[in-house]
Amino acid sequence: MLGQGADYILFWTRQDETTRSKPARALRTAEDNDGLADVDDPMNIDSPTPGDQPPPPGDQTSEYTKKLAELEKKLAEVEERRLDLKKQQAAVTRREKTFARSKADFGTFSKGVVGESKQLAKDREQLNEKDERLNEKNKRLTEKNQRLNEQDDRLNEKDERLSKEQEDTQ
Amino acid sequence: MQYPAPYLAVQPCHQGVGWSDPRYPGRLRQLATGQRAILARSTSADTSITSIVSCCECPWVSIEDQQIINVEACRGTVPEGQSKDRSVVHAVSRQDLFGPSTDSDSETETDPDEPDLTVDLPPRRNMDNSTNGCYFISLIQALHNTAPLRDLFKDPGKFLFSKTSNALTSFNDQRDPNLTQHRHAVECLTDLFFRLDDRGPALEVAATENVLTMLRRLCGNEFGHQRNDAARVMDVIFGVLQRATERQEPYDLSILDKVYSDEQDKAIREGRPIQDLAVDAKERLAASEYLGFDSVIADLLLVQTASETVCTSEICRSPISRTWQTSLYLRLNMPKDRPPTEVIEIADLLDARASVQNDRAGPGIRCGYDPNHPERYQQFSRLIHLSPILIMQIDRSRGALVQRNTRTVVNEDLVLNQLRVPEFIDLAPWTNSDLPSQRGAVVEEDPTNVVQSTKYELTEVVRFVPGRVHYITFSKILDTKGAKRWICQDSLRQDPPVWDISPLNVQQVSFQDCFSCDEALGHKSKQHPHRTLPGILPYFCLIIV
Repeated sequence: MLGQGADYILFWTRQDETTRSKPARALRTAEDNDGLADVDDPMNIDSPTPGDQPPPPGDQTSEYTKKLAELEKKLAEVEERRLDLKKQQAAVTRREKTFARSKADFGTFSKGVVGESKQLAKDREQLNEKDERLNEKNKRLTEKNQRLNEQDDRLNEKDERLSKEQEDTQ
Repeated sequence: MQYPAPYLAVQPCHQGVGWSDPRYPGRLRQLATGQRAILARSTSADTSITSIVSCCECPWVSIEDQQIINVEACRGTVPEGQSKDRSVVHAVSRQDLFGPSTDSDSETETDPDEPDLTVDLPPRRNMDNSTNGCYFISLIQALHNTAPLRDLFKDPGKFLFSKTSNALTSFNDQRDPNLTQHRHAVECLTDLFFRLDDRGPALEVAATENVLTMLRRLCGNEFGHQRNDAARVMDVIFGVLQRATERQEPYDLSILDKVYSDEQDKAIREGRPIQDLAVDAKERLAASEYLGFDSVIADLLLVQTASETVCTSEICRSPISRTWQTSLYLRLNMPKDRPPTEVIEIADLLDARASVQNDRAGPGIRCGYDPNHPERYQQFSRLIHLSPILIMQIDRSRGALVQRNTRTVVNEDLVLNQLRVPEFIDLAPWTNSDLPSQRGAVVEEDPTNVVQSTKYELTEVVRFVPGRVHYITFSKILDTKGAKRWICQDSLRQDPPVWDISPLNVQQVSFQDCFSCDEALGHKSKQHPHRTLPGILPYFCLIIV
């Protein structure tokens, strides 16, 4: 059996010209628009007559109702899924914030610990130096004390000797 | 009334009837035995036509004189009061004129000095039609001659699945047998396109059958066994190409359509305008990408149309709804109520599509202001988005075509009015037309907005010839010197006729179906009294039937 189709199939190729956009209403004349409502028609969608009542739901076939119900069910499922995803997204955002905060805190803490340990080492070094200086001072004072004791002994001996000489003189 | 110089003319030669190019007078191409010629435009002052048989529509030549007549009187002119469209003459074959040919008669009278018009043509191979695959072959030839589509097949990278397993994303399961079939179909088509770019004998039947077999599997044998329709094949091929070039997985957004229509209904009932068309168009075009139109083939072919339905009540005429259609080609319908001799223009079809009066309301279609208004509606459409290639499928059927074996019945099912197609068309009247919701709206011009041209050039025609129950293709192709030429590719012929129309500045291409020369000449007029051949084959179109 040969072809039974009935159609012409025409292929057109766009000519490579570009133009600036024009107002959409440029080409049609009033005659072309015959059958359309007047632009100034108060029943136009842009200017509905006040007092117009919304229409009742209208008669719908059972098929349409069924389809509508299916669509509404789908819509509800999609809405539920969307809310669920929104919740999950919020939880993820929360976790991310907590983690970021923890990370920042840990950074500050570790930085503080390092600084403190450095300060402690420095303090310890200063203390050691001070201790050494105090030891030396103590040593010097001990020596001085010893010298003073010796001097005191000598003065005491001298005092005794003078006392004895005074007694002898009396 | 003087009409332009013809391109082709028919002349008698001593061996029978041939056709010639008036630029090379005296160089005849003889019709093969049994062939019949119907010739567009008859004659000119410098071309001698002495043996013609008139069409019954040519009133200045009586049908009773249908054997051999001298038309010296109408050479180059048409009698006053006659349209130039009636300037068609028909030449009968030598068989009709002189009886069966003999071997000595069969030599064609040619001149070795006559230039061969096919020399500068790019290489094209025909395809073997021994399995009656003309409905497929003609479409493939048209697709192949369309440069952007041919380039698509020449660049395998455009078919993403060849590079990454993520392409053909419609198939979630890589083991899906449909996925394999899609791959094979594209590979077969690619191979076919490569092989057509060559000189030599017609491609063997296997080349056609391989692709057809793959496509039949994809569409459940809907064509090929039941309805051999080029338009149906085109549907299937574009479906395959769309999946093979898609950039993302398509989604089912029917729920969004429901939300869209609900919002629209609400706006109308509350007296608010429907969303601005330009804004709406952008949103809907973006949404269409999620629906499967985000593909290379859609970039080339996508057509988007907006339609608005209005109440037909004289005191109302309020918009009822706005709908959007996105497709890879534009479908137009031939009017079924016109006199058979009336010539239909493409503009008529586009106008008819742009405004449709419907007396039967569909489900949910009723006036938003007053439900008591008549349940009739008028629909206005506007082309919103056009692509580099525009394909028009023009439906000529009077109803659903069913498989029938008789040529007559097939003809009865078709609208056979002549369709006149301009070679160049500007679609601006149908892209700039008003829709009801825009009437009275202030449209501001954006000087920075650059829109694509609406001017198109006809490049390919796939045509069904009822008389032969056969598909042929006319293509305008560039030769190696950059000149445009029309060629006719017919899978039943080895050497397609070639027309070099550029020097003639042909403005229109017309198509006319006739069933056979017998019917054209009125021999079957008793059976089909209304089915006379309109005497119209203007300009350059030669059809061998």
